[in-house]
Amino acid sequence: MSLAPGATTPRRAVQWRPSLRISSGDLPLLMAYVYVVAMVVAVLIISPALLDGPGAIGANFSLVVPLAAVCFGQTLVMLTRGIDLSVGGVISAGSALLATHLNAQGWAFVPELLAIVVLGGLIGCLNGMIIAYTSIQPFIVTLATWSIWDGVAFGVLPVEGGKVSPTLINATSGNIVGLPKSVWIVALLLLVWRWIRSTRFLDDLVAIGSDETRARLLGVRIPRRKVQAYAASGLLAALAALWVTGQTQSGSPDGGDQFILASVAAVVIGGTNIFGGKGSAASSTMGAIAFLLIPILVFALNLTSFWGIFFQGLILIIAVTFNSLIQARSRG
Amino acid sequence: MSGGSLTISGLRKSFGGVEALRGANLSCAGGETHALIGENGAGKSTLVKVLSGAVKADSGEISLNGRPFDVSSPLEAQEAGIATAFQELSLIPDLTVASNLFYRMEPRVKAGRIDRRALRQAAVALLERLGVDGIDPGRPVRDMSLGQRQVLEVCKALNRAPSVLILDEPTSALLPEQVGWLFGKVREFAQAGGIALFISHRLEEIESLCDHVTVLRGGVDVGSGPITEMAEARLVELMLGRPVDRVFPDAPDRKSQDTICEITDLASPPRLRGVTMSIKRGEIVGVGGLQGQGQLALFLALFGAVRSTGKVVVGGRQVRLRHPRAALDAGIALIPEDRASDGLCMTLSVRDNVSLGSLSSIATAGFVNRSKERAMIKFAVSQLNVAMRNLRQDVAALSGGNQQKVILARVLAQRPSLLLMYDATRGVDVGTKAEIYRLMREQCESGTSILFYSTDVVELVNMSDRVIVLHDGQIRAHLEGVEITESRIVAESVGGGLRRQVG
Repeated sequence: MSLAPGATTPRRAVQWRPSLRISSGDLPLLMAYVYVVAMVVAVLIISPALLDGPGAIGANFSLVVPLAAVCFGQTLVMLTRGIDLSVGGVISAGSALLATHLNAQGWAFVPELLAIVVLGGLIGCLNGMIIAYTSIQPFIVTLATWSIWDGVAFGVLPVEGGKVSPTLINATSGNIVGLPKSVWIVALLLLVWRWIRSTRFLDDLVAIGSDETRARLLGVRIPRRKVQAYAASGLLAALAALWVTGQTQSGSPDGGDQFILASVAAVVIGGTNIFGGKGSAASSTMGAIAFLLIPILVFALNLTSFWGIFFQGLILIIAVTFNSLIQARSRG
Repeated sequence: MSGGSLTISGLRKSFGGVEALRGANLSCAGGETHALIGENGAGKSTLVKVLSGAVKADSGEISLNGRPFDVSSPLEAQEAGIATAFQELSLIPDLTVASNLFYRMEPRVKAGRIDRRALRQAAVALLERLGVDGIDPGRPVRDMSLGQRQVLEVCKALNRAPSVLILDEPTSALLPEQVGWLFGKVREFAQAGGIALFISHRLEEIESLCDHVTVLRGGVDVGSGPITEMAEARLVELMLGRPVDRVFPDAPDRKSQDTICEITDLASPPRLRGVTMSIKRGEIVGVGGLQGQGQLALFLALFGAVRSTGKVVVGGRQVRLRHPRAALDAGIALIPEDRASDGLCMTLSVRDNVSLGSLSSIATAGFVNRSKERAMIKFAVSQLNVAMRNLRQDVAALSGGNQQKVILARVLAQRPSLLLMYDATRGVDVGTKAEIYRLMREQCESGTSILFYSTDVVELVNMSDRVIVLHDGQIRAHLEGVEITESRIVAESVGGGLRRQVG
């Protein structure tokens, strides 16, 4: 059998099989929406006041804001096949600083607010540089920096409390044009994602997480992109710190720790691949909402609160199992 | 011809003390389709990596169109005019076809944002212009078949409008029509004054496509010239560094009559739909047929790697093939096609990779007896001339042919009674192939039977005592003795009008 062609070349290469609209590999990213809708419907049937009672939306969304912000950053990092555990340390340190040194009032608070955000970005930069320029695992690097910044937080504010700027407290409560600020912020995060989604930055992150060797062949500046992803994650964690501190009206030197596992869980429930290359901050936001709906559903069902953690673990396992089944199928 | 030129002189590059290039030279002019050939480990891949900017040469000079070519990244190489269709493919599975084709050269970018619609339209136009049908540019590359990816890899390289187009083994996963398409594109490219550098193991492809050829051996160019002045035998001799009399060893005429393996109605739906056959001691049974007719399922079922129904008797005892362990215990061993993902633990040493398969015979109470291990491995490795520094070297550092030999060494150390070889010579150079053939014969002499599938029909004809041709998960033809010819196997594989009446 000769593989050599004759003198004539077929104009068309080959007729290939037709394509479906949605790539089956993208299904996990849609599942979080299903979880959210299912749980919202369930709560609305059992105990609607938990979701549409007076102030319920604002109260619920104010829990979503910090987790969604952290998840946004976590998604960017996970796209590169990384993980950022230091978000906990950043939130704790930010919260401690906001309850002690950075609590001016009025306009004087603005530079302090900026300082917190920049600090978060710089901490992320540091993570990114260590990860990009050494071969140390992101898990280890950020585990270490988490501990370091938690240590700093305890140094600054040994016990929960302190005094938070009233300006920050005011800024994180109330409504804008009839909707709670928390809803606006979540919407803003989704808009930012919509914008970022089509940037070269995001394509580069996907390329890195998908296959770092190939990304290098494509000319992606890998270290720079990694630093940017971790910087974004640190910056968003600092924003979460601002929100949490303003909402709780007190500083907490270990208040950030709960966000570490919660953010990883929410991002995974959102269908982002922990091994990189695939993810969406919008889906992660849905994952965060699903994650936070569980305790509400548990409350609606009149169960003791420990079932909340139980079901959060259960949904995580279900989501991961589903995702890995889909991935195994779309690869095979 | 156009005035373009690519000249390489005295190129050297070593990796961790091993010299991959030892002063290689190459010179091509515009309008040329230039073949670069050589055995595995001859330095072709390294040369490609240097030209594509993936690695930097230690010394030597490259000039492109009269200007020195000195780049330190793949991006710079592309900007200088060298585009490469990589063998390992540089497409990102999780990005869409369109994003991959236009990576870093998106048609419209504003403030870092890519205009997805313009990108998609550009991709549709590009595929249309290149005559590629049936690929939706909006789908991720991970949904594409290997052949489609290889086509896209070429499209992507052509889209950079390079002055030099490097094609590193671009045909390994292509169907004949796709190969025809590719050759047409390469000819067009050369006619427009470009330089096409074509790397392939398939000499017949080189002869039909290229006008010049350069042979690499041991990191140096050992011969170069117009293809018309280089006969096939001469090329093989240059590649190997010695004249080759014959690649295929003689078949022995001694035949045993006792059946070693009896397969009845072996099925693994949907791919394998009932195969009944028997294999005699010391026999080589070839498996032919078009790709994807159930050959892989047959091999995996026999190795216990997929669920199957039916009866398999090995050496008089029925085997329940529910797990590869059961197959191994029954004396069935498999040499897989993809050595990197299925056959080897890339991060382990040569030693560990060889002994992994037969730990039970060299271990006592869970502990490996290192001296038994050493004796076994020394024997296996020496039979095969694996080129390596020592047994502790990581397998990942070996060349492809040598990796394949490590798998062989492991399998031989198990002394199987039935050896399954699934396209084991794919992507392996002529020298290693000849050695694999010799080993197959030796194994049969010592009583092992071999069931082997190959995409290379010539190989089936020359190595098999019998050939079965699979079609749609069933045996379509059983060929023996003089019936085993290239044309007969192809005819039976294709079926339909070409197929002669059997019997």
